[in-house]
Amino acid sequence: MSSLVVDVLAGAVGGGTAIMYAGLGETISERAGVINLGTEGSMLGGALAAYAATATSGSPWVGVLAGMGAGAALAGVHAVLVVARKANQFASGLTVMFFALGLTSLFGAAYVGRQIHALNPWKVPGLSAIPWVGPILFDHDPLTYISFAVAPMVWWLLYKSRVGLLIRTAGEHSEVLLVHGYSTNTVRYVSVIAGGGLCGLGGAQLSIAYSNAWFENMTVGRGFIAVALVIFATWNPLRVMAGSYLFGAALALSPALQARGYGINQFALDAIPFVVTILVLAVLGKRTLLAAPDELRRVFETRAA
Amino acid sequence: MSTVTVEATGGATTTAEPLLAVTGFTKRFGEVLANSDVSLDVRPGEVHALIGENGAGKSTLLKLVYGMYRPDSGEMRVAGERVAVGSPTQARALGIGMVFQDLRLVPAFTVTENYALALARAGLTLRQSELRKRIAEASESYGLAVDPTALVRHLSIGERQRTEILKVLMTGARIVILDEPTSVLAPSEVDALFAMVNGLKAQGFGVVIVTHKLAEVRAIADRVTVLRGGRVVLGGVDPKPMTDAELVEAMVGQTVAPLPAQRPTVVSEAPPALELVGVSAVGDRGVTALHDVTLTVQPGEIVGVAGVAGSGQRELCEVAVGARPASAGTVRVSGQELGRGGPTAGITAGAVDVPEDPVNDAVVPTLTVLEHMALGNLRAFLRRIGVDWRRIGRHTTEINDRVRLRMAPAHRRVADLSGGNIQRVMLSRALGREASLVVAAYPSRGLDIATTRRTQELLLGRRADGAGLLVVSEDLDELMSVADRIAVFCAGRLTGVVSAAATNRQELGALMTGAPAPAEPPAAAPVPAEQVAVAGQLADGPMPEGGEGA
Repeated sequence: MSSLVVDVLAGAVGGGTAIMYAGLGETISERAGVINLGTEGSMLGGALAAYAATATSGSPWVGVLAGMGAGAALAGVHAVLVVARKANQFASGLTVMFFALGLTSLFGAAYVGRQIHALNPWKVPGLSAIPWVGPILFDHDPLTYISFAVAPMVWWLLYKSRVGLLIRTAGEHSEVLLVHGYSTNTVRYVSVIAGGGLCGLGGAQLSIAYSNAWFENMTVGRGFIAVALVIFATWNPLRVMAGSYLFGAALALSPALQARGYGINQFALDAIPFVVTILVLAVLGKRTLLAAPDELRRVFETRAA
Repeated sequence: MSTVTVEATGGATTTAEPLLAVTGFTKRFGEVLANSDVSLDVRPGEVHALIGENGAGKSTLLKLVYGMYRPDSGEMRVAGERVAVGSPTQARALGIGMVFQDLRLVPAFTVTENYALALARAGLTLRQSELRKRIAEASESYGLAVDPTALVRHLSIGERQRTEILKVLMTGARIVILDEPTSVLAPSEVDALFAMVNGLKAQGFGVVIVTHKLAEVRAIADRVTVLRGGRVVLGGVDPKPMTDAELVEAMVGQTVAPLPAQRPTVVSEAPPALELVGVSAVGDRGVTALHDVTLTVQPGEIVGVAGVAGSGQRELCEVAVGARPASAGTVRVSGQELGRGGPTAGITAGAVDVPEDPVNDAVVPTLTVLEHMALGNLRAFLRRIGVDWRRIGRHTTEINDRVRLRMAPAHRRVADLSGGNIQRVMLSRALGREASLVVAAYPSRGLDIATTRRTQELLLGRRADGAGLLVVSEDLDELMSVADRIAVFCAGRLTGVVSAAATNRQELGALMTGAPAPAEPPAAAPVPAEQVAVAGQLADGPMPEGGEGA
């Protein structure tokens, strides 16, 4: 039993990392006042680009950069549509998601089943020997270790840096930026594209570090879970980190049980993360919305200028 | 930067070099001449009031000075130097600070974070602790109490205004422009604001204050500039030797006749228009906001409602028309008990209302003016299962001709209208139809002098027709000139009902703060109106001004 718990928790950290990156990216975007439902698409684009670049170049770190670039580029499409063209954020995000799904299916076919030189798990000497804690926290791929630092960094960026103040102002009360001589559009472009880069990084972690494989629609809803996660983490990067492990655990439960031969229906197990999402949203209800950046409430408002 | 040079001269009579001098500003938007040859100068240590009706060009002038628009012609000097201001950032760099009517603060941020937006222009971090110290020092040296760690969301409007003013000073402003600062304040906060403005004046700042209230011009301004139709009517004159009537005439362009001094006593057999017996009601926050109120409005009587904002006026109005259930007591409109019948019961019994917050409570932004006229009395316009739009159109035209409030064209979407124009729709709808009870909350909000006067005439017209009226206003002069009796509320309780003719501001003020009530005078006595009734309350309200571009 204890090995099952350790397996699930270790899986929570390793499997939750992709969701965490996507959630952090979405947090930055929404803090700037832009909802991006294209996270799933940015993740898929990132996963494929990372896999393909790794296969082609032989270096997984080139793959990581390619993944971030692909995620950022797809978010850039969303940014052009909603920031410059003022298109509806939901329609644009979903469109970008389906666009990426089709694009990755088309160009990804050649990479299905191909072997790559992946980012393998690396046991931290000493620390990984600690019972319980070691296997849960210190036996992971490099992108997971990096994520331990990225979440606090995003928190610091948003709450302690000057740029973060501008991002949050764009999301709370964008007219104030104008009054102080800043451009809301610039702030939003940068935020959405940087957020997309983080989603792409999440996708890269999934394909070249966690599963070491590429297959069609391999994110299976992680991007959407990340969008929900941002809401019930009340747009706080540190809570996004904690929440992503909750979903990681839900995802890890199925393989851990199967490995031990429990005869539970595969499809029922796959539904667990979404059941968790429904339960968390039901419990938190309206409370989460009180913390929402004000500009998100105005998504359906048509404003002059 | 937090030290202040106090000008030796001070006061209104200074002849020092103006801090700001605008000469011959002209600005045209298409066919509209928003500013025509406008001049304005502000000296150190003076308060210069800028007044005018809606569309007079005040907003345009401020935006030209603050670099949000560029003038077609004219020049501007700051401390004698000729300048061209292309953006608010440049204006701030020249020492011009603007405190907007809607206050440009982010509610979700702390005071320090808000200041950082204006003050931390470079660097990676915000250095908040250093900034907090600077704010505390400036707060001390200017005598403006501001807590740097407070969340703006938790501050009152008055506190936010103070926060904004200190921020403007910390960015290095020598000229402080206050755009309708009192329109969003409670009376007690107005006093605090004026104390603050006098402090700035004493420290040698030049202050420009936009207002609509002559009482405020009298209280605070050393000089006044009146704009009308984009032109200067009175340029930088001392208001003291002028009468209210002269100032009003300058703003409106014609003399405004006083309200009729004698009111006919209306004799009616009808039951009381409104009868509240021991009524209590629960407010939106779940706390009892109206306690055990007993009040009667007779047909042909106007009962004014006075009180500090949030004393239960909103709940009173809603209970009276059935929009909010009474938690205790009985509500009768024209003798019909409303019970829990909701707004439908109120409408059926003959109640109409002008809501306190039309934008949030009574307006569907995407619908047109015509559709709003229909919504007010939809049942009257049904034709089988459809709606008789042609009849509504005729009805609307007819109301417009009769009410004469210059309502916006019927096809316009309400979302595109200014606050004042939305108010005109609400008033036309409520005052243009038969009703036994009219409940009007802040009827003159957002309206200029001429329209305010017309509205007051309409209220008196309904009274003459035998309707009972309940009129809420924060303007005591308006209440004393329009109402027969004034009911005063304090913290949800009725503290007194006084005769409008016999009372005075001191008595009302005492009742508003909860002093014991005198005996109730007889109802519906003929009441002489004040002389220039409209003069004291040139309310333009807290809503944005229309017709000057944005």
